[in-house]
Amino acid sequence: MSTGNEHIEELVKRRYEPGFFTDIESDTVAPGLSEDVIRFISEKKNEPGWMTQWRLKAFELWQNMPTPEWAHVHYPPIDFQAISYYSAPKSAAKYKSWDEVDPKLIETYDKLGVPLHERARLAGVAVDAVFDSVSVGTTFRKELAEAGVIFCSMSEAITEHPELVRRYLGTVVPQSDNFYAALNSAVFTDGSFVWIPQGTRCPMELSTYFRINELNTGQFERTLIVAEDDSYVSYLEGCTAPMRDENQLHAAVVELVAQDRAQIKYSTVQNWYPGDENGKGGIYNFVTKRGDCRGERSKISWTQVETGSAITWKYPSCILRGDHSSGEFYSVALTHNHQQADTGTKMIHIGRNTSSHIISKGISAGQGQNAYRGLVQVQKRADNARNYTQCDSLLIGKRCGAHTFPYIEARNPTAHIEHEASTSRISEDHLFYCLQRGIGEEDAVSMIVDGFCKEVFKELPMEFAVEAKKLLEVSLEGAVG
Amino acid sequence: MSMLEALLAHEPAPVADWWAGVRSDHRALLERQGLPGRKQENWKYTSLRRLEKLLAEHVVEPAADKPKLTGLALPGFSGEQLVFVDGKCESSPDEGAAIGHLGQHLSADDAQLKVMLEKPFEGGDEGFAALNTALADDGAVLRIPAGAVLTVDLLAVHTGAAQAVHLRHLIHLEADAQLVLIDRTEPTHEGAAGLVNHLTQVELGSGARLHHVRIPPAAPQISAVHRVEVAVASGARYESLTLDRGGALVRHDQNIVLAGSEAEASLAGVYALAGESHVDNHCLIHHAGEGASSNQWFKGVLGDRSRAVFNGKVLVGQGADGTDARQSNATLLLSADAEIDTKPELEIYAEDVKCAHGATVGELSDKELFYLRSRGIPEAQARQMLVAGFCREVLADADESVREHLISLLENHLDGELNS
Amino acid sequence: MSVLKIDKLHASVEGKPILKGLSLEVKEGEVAAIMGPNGSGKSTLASVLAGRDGYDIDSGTITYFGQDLTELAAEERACAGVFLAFQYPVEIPGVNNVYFLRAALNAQRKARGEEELDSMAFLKLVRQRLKQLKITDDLLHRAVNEGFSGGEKKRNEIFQMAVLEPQLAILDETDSGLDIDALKIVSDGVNDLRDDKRAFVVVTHYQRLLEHIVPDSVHVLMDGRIVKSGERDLALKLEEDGYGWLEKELAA
Repeated sequence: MSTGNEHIEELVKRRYEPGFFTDIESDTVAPGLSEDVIRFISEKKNEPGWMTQWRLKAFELWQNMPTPEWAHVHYPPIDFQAISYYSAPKSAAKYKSWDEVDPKLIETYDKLGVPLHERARLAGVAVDAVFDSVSVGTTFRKELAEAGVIFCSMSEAITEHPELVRRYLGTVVPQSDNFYAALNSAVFTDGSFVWIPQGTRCPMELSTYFRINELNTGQFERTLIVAEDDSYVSYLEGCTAPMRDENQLHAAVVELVAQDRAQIKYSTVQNWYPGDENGKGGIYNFVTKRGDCRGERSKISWTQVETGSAITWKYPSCILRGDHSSGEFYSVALTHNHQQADTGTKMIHIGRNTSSHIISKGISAGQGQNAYRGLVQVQKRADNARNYTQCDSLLIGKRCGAHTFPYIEARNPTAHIEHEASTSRISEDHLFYCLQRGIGEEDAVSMIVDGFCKEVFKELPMEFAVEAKKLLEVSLEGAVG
Repeated sequence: MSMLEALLAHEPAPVADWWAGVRSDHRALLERQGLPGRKQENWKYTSLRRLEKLLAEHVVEPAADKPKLTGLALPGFSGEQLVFVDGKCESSPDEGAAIGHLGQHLSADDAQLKVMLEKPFEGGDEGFAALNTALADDGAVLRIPAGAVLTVDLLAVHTGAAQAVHLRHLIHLEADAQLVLIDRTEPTHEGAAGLVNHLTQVELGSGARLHHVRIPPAAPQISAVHRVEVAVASGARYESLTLDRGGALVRHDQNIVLAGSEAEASLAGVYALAGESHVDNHCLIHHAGEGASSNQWFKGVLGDRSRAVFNGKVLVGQGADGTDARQSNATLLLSADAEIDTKPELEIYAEDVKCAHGATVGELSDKELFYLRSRGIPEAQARQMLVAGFCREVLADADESVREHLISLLENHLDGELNS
Repeated sequence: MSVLKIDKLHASVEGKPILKGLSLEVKEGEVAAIMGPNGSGKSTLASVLAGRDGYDIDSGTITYFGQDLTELAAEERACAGVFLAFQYPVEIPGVNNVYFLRAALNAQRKARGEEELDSMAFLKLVRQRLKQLKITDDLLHRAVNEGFSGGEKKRNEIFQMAVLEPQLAILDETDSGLDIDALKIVSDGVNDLRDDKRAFVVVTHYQRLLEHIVPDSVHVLMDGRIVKSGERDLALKLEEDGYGWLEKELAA
């Protein structure tokens, strides 16, 4: 640990680390949204007719939907005609190996601290990287193919595995689900597709990095993960964006399907650009993530560490349809400066003997506003449903806000639901104890915050946990004193 | 004619000009906005459909006989009493006494009452308060002088002779005054139906203390909308205890502002419901001053096809440091057709706070049941004992003058309704 | 005369066999100690006797005064005079201790065709029992076991036993978590209730309790069966040498 001013100065300089812009020639469509733009996107991607129609139907639905206003976040209306809906690195055509990838792109990942090339080999992580909206390469394709696992970009899946995509796309999050899901369905440009065959344990962690690069572009990726009977997969996503004065929109959709006895573990470290300390710029992160525990004894587990974005609006949810299925949600959400987050989960108990577990840790600093919004619903036939929810908030500073809006709806008398929540500032006793032992205030705070989040961090794969911890430290800079 | 039009067709007693102006403002607002609906977040789980149906079917008949008030006396009660029958005061308190009623002030220009009556209810979800403001022409006026200590039985009798009753109670406690208020509505005639729409405004001076025991009507044809607005000054304390035993549609809104430093509020409630009863408890405690503390504690058991809603909210404003707020809701579901929707909320804009809430939903504990049975208590009785014990806990904090009465109301109700 | 006779009892919990052919007989006035290592099935035996849900009897019989005990529901067993002092007495918020005990006593009296006690007569009985057990009445007015210390909970169990006057009392690890003073109060209470009719089954892990409640017979429960029976000196030998020698003896 470096000491005193030197350390703080260094921290202050560090600020938003991934905030660089990569100068790569890209193919970007003019701003605005219309049927023509959707046809253009679909054509550009050589999509079959059914896909084009699916998009157009979503567009039609979207045009008749009001923008959602119920979340505890405030922002000026978004001009959807000012956004460009397609941006792809020009050389993105097709890579057979990493050697063919534009070196500038690889440099980008190096700057991100994700030297994907190296990292993939060393850590045994298969990475699909989505740059703006187009997937640029997937490592470890061969090893995965041997196990029968399909891990590719969504565009590729649409052309190469149309029967799988058609069977599952939109079955968890239909086009009509909500405003941003409809928009995504109309304009999504890429994303990841994962299919784990029956009885297969995916031989490695799968990972995707998302990055928004171009100015005035929106990113609308679509991810679909299907785990067939008795299979297992762990999937990680990371997100970054350059520093821009303008707000940028990110409206992704993630659909998970777990069949009988299948397990999906989905982890996110979200570090989109949060805007500067005056609240200028930053990503609007309006995401729909939902998992369907379709089969009996299936399990879906969401873990998220949300430190970025100007506004986060997302509720990774589980539909517990199969008997004995279970859902988990572990979340750390941090808001600093002018960041706003309204995040949480929905656990919908439909099958018998279903269980859900929710651990949410919110940290508010500066003028950040942090809301947990959750729904636990036990439907009439969901005998013996069990839910435990714990949702804690930590306040750092006088002008931040921490809010809790849990909804509990129980329609079955055999349900056992327990919800606990607490909100407090960092305990002065804890802080004093650290200080008295010679630990500086900033370190003491980050130590205490780290302890506060421990339950969630331990759910992350090792290297992500380290990254998450570091991110939290960086994001909290200047929050103390 | 819509329900709202039918309700607004009622002609209240004429009042002073300024007041008539307030009335017509609220009437206009209502005509524009209508009564609240399920699109509004605060009415998400409570639909007015059944109320609408019951009011439409309700034939208003003057009661054949005068209500027998003697049977309604609180056992062993020795305080003051104020009685309203179908919205009109039956007592004749002295002018200028601590205990009066709004009917005495219709043409007067009383500054204190004016401030309270002029309070606007403009929100789309405040339709019933607007309705009350547009139509109320009677209610209790309690002005307790500094340091005085009083117990008042505020009895509203509902015979079914009116379609809807809108009482407006105005309560002001000067510094260090203490009031125990037993606020109850009793239907006197079999099958009495209709809407009881009460709005109570309370101002507590510094160090004052109000213990508010609320017993809404419990009859399957009667709907009750009870709203309480309380402003609590420094060092003052507002306590309420609500015993809900059912009703077609019962809606409580308790909005408490802890304005002064070290102000306190404690809202407790029991709901023991059977049949098709629907009870919705909404509480909002706004911590505005420093060092204030609050507690919300609601417990209930739901049988048959009954449904309960709990929405408790703690709002801690900027600068309300030293806040200590607690909130807890526990519900037992006794039937496959019962439903609970609970939403304990925290909205916090200050730093030095301690807030916690908990909610549980479950059935009777097998362990507890076995313990009782292993001592020889038959299962049905064991269940009843556990249910009664679960509910009774909350009533232990009731003022002595009314505690036994509350417990016997609860137990008779559990023996009858919930045990069948 | 035999109070309790268990014959080749097999019982399981969630399909897992716990008792595997357990046989035991307890006579009138007898104090039978059941000792055994952790996980041998001691608490399962206590629960099976009291009729707890979730404990399935696969085969064998339990006879209580010549009657098939397994036919009876938990409360019927209690009314027939079977009392279980729980290892972990449950806390029941809101249910007053005195009220609870009177309801229990009257349910049992009613089942036996006796008149129910009114509150005066009941309180008189309570006071008498308190005096007899030399314990104070400070716990009576609280909710059942709520906020009681470990010692207070066990004391409350013995007090309930004194009021309910069972014919067969099963003490499930009543000594666990007690300091020496609490242990003394509890065992004095039990000794006081001993007579030539009432039978006791004292389930314990340690010999310590048996210094205070001297048993007439000692039975060692291992792996779901009574593997050795003897007199008090068997308990002392177990205290001295542990259970290892028995395992060897059995394996031989």
